[in-house]
Amino acid sequence: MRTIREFEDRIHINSAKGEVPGFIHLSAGQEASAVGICMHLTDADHIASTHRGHGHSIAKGCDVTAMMDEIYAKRTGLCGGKGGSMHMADLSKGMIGANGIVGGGVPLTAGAALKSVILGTDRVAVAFFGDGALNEGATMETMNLAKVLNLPMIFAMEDNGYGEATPSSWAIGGDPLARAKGFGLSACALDGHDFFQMHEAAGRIIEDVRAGKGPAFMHISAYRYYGHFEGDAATYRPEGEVEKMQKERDCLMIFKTKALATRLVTDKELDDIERQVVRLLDDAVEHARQAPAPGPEDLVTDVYVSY
Amino acid sequence: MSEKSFRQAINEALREEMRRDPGVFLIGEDIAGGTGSEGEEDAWGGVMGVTKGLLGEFGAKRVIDTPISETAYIGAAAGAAVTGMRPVAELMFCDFAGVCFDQIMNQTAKLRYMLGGQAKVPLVIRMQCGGGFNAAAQHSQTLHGLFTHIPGLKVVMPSNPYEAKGLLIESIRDDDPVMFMEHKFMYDDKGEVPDESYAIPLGEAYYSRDGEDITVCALGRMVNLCNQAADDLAQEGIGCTVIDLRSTSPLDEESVCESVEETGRLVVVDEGYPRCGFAADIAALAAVKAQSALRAPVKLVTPPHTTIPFAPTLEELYIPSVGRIKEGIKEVLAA
Amino acid sequence: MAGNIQAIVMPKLGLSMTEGMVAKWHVQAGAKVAAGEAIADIETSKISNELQAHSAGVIRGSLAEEGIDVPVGGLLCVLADEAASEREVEAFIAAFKPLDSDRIEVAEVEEASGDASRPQQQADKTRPSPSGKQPPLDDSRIPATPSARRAAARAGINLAEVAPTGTRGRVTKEDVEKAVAAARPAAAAHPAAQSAATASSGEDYEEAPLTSMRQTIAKRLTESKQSAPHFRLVAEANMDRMIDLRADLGRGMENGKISINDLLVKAAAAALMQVPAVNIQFDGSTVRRYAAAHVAVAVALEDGLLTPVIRNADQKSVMEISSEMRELSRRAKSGSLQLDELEGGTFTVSNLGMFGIKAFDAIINPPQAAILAVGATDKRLIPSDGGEQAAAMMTATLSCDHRVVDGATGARFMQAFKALVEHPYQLLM
Repeated sequence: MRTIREFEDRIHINSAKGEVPGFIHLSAGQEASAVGICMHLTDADHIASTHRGHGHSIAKGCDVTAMMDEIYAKRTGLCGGKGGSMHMADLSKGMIGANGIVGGGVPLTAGAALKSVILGTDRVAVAFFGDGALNEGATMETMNLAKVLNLPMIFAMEDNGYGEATPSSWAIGGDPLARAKGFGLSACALDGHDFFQMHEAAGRIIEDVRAGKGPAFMHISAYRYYGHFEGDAATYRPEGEVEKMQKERDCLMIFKTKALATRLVTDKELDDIERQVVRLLDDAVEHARQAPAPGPEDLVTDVYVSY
Repeated sequence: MSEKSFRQAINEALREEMRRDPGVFLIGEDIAGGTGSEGEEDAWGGVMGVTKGLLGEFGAKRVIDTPISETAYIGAAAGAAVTGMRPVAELMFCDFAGVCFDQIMNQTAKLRYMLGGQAKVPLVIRMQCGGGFNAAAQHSQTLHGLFTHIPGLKVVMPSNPYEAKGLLIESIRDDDPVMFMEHKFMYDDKGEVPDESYAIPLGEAYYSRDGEDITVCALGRMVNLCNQAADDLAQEGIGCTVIDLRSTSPLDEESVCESVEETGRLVVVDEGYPRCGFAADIAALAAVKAQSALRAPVKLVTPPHTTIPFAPTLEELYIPSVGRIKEGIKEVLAA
Repeated sequence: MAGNIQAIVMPKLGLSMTEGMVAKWHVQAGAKVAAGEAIADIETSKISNELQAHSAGVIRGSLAEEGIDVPVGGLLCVLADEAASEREVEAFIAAFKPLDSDRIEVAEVEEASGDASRPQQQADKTRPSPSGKQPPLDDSRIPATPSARRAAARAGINLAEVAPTGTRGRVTKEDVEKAVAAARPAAAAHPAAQSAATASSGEDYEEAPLTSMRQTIAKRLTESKQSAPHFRLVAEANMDRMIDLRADLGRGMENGKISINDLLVKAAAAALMQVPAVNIQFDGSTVRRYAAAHVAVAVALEDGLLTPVIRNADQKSVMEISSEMRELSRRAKSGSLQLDELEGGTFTVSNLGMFGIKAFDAIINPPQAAILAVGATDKRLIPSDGGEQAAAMMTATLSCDHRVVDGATGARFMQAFKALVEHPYQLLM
């Protein structure tokens, strides 16, 4: 969680300096959902993510340096500099990919779950998507398909309050949980600001899905600290909202308070983690700055396996 | 070797590949038919009966009926392919690509590139195409041009049962996504199809007629019309080389250019829309790579830039006919 | 215990070499050879070279027939140690399959002894060797375009023997045409080559088959003369200053190393830079314009001639040209030029001045578009201020391919060339 936060903060700063090309969507504030769920998954379980996919990628085990290289459009990036922020993926880690199309990754996730059914394994697949994607046909079609085919799949909707600039409370007609239940999914609402709740509930749900009890839906409340994209002044949000959320509902802060209170960690351990994360990201950013860009020879490769 | 229908040839290809590779599975609407109903099991075998009988051998885990949700199951097929399976999805009509085009264009086609070459997407999307059934505007299109436009997709269109089997087997074994287009008018066409398994490489054209006066390029059902035209014209002493391209992506440019260099004259026949389409593409190819050999302007025999009509009288005018092809050939020879 | 058995195959002597023949065996079957020992002379249409045993052993099996073309990688004979039984050798030969010619590395012929990197055939494949004598294999599985397939069928050529250049490794029609063209003189040579050993001597003549080199010369120059409309431009140049310059340059150097020809090559290269429209190659449809002058220089041999190329002659100093020319000439005469050193010229200089020929015209060396024929330099009287004066004069004749070089273009080249010859100090800059 701390790594994701630091990762996103660095990009926020360096993007403003003009170091990072392309469209960037940051997930700072939403870390607990990604980590709480992915901690229950192995590399053989698949996830697909959204345009706001850095956190999911890190939580699923993607290499932070290679991710930073990718965001800096370098040949050493996770996708060779051909995907960028919106297409972060590492199949070896079961990360099918972030996605530039809202709802686009949800059907793909169903495919990974379908594989598990056909081959009779206990792999599960998690589709992370946002409140915006809940209104996409692709998502709703897939919820139905998952139920009909009894796919071992979790629909993890992270409701960060805004689909681009429009509040989800306005854009979602009806209750998301009722919608999911309407498709026959087991559905629950989770507090995405509280890692411990996320982790505990996700563990239970994933276990059920793994056991073949059918697809599940999570309505995860979350909040993004930065705009929809880097450069978005986010004036659609009421003044003081971000500050209030950071002060009262920050998932790292809540984690720290609870973990210290239950003596799960010590102050010193947290300080150590802090130092490690800062060094990791210092190195990653420096690496990304120095790494070579892809060359002309890379332009036309990887379109086909053979042509 | 025995005579089989186009439909049987495809069924045979699917059966052989499913036996060969447990990663191959079928998914689509009513590809068994009647799933979940108390009536007949495997009632349809697809709307054209192509997949009939496969459910019995391979079971419902590998012959998967879906709700009418093209986005969901085409996307799921792509997701299964990325994670190591070898799905064959049936889109029923290529016209229905409209409802799931994001999964085809933005996901399937681009995954490998976006992921920097990490992914293989060995997905075949089978679909019927073509007019002649008075099925009107949304069930008669031939959209190979649309798919060919998109890098990352391969686009294949067989012209007879022999090609249907060999090209489908190759498409299933291919590690890239293949749009496999079956002309609905040809399912009952019969031809010699070897019983054993064989694959026809993609991107390699076939000269279905050999002649020295003019080159005629086509795909799918149009090849048969071109062959008829060529046979008629042979009676008049006109020799046509009819090139069956078999796939538009990859495209066998060499075979087109080599023939045009021999004949100096080119007619392209296509059932797809004329603008930015296959016919225009081949004409451009000749202009770019064989211009010095051309002794007459290239002739395109295509439908008009019009939606496909319902009325039989209009549809007959719409689809290129043997008569129009012959006229086109003679026009070029006279130029 | 099975003996060590190795295939000795047709080496690849240049990047474009696809076949060659044994001109002469120096050993017989059963002969014991040492590593590095010369066992045969290999000849292609362009060069000939010595084949050496890459390790010690006994020559086993039958030797490839002299004078018969064998594809690169094809089996010439087997080298085995004495422990290998006759049956093992036979089994090895039966199982021998040549490597794809593309995958065979170009042999470093001059330093071939005991080179471990040479391709050694593994006895794990089943296809018989497609040596000239084998019946054609079924080529229906060889990837080829329909036109190529048809052309090969018409020409009776096996697609397996055609080097493919098409997409996905397919044989194209052009590949077949090239193979047919290459096969024609070679095929014609077979009966002649076979009869070479018993060349019949008539009463007052002796029959001799054309060597590969002569066949190539015959074919290319006939083609050139028939397809390229030649026209000629003759110019005279005053050589006095060049002769002085050469003497100056030779002073203090051993053996007076710079030749007039070296200076003329440099002058031609410099003139090509001034008139780049002559510095081209033309294949009948496309003109290739070159940024650098790659000047081929005709070198007469006992039987034939070679035209090794001095690459980037415009960028080289006269000294560099001179030493390179000496080396190329030496190797042309010893038969050790690499194919690559004979290809890629954009212009040729042919000098017969040393034979006292006053002037001559030459046939263009395709795909080049012009050739300069240099005659002897002699003292002639030339008009000067109201009288006459003796000067060392040289006549040079430029032959041009009129399809791509016009008279005025050629004339501009000759003008530039003459000016450089007459003011040769520019060549040192």
